Amino acid sequence: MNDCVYIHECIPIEGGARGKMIDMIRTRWAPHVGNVYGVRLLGVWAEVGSTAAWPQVRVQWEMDDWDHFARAQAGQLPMEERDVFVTDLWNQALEYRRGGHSALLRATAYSPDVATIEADGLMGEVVLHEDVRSLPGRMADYHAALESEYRPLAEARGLRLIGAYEHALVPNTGINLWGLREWGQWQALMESEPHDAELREWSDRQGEWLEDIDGFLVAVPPTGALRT
Amino acid sequence: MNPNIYLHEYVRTVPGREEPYLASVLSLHHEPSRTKLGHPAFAQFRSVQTSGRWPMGINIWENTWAGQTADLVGQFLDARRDTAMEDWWQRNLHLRRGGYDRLLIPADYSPTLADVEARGVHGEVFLQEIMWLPFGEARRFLDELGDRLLPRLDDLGCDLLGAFRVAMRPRQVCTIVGAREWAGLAELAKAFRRDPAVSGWDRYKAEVTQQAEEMLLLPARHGPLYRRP
Repeated sequence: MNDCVYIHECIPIEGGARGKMIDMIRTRWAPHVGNVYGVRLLGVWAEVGSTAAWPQVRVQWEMDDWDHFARAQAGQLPMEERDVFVTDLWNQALEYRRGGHSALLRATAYSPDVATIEADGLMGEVVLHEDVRSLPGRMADYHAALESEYRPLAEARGLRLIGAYEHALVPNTGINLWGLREWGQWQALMESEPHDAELREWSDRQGEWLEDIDGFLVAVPPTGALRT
Repeated sequence: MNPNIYLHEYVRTVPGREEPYLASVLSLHHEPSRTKLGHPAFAQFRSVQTSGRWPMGINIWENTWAGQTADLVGQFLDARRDTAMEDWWQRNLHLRRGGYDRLLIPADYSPTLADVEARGVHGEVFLQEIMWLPFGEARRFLDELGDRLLPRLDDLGCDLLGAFRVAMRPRQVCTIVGAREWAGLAELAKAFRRDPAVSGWDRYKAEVTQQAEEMLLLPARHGPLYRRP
């Protein structure tokens, strides 16, 4: 069972500052909110431009449950009054980004938490991110089918589930994250796609539950500041 | 059979800087300091304020999954970083603000760059359409286009530049048709109502398309698709 609550952030970047934004989150923001509020960084990624919007950064934070979420938010906000370090980070980051869009997510029961993701080494070099919109009221059925029908197919092809989430506030909206150990696995997945009858059958059936699904890649960036 | 894939890039250019941006993109592939040669541009366009979003730059690159993966590894793994590309990225921030890309999988009949060059395809204007279809319809859509519209294009003064599914986005397809002259686009528009084969195609398209975005595109003036007087 996974009762965690997640904040998923999509941050469009100004100019060439994507690497600087990622470095700030990795080296300063995450350690601070981890130490003070117990908020865990599930991932910070560069959106892979050849597959989606660019330049953008994705960030996902994990909290134990809604009570932890409330404590962590109340501790930080309004930041000018309660957390001078976050206030300073926020203002420094204005050089890198002007806005963004965040989603409050709850995980399916079968989604691993951060501790499990790290212990099992699920993240890998690249992550397949899927934005999901279900038909009205069909997200639970989709998530059940994802677990029982698609997950075995996906895992047989090197995709490892990092999380299947639904938006806590916006109905019929969700995100799937799948880790790939190496870039070569994504290449193999794409090369086999036109001839993979099992995946095609699953893909075509998704209309039973979904309005749409948009897949793209996010990558864990190099250790130095990414320059693109 | 077209064995390639295509990287399709929408670029939000700085208004008025579309052509300089398109030239700067191509210049990267002539960079003497770059150890790795780039892939040839399949096509470059800018959008025009006649229909659809503008201003935009559009780059399309022919590649393979192996080549595309190697390009991405060069961006995201320390060991194989493409520093010449990183320098170029930073140098050209004054020309573009961001963008949105797709990876395209061609229909078997969709021409390769070699086919386009051999046929001498060029045009004054190109019609690009991106459509959202029901799950499971994309392959049939491309088959229908190949059967109904493709055989009529030459008579209308048009050429198919590409017909694609979109990787990892199972509901989307992308098609690009070039008109050798603006009059060819007018003939195509008239044929939607008057030509039995083309009107049948248009009716089918209307029945299955749940969302669409169209764009009229001008070919980059330094590129081979540009029709010189």
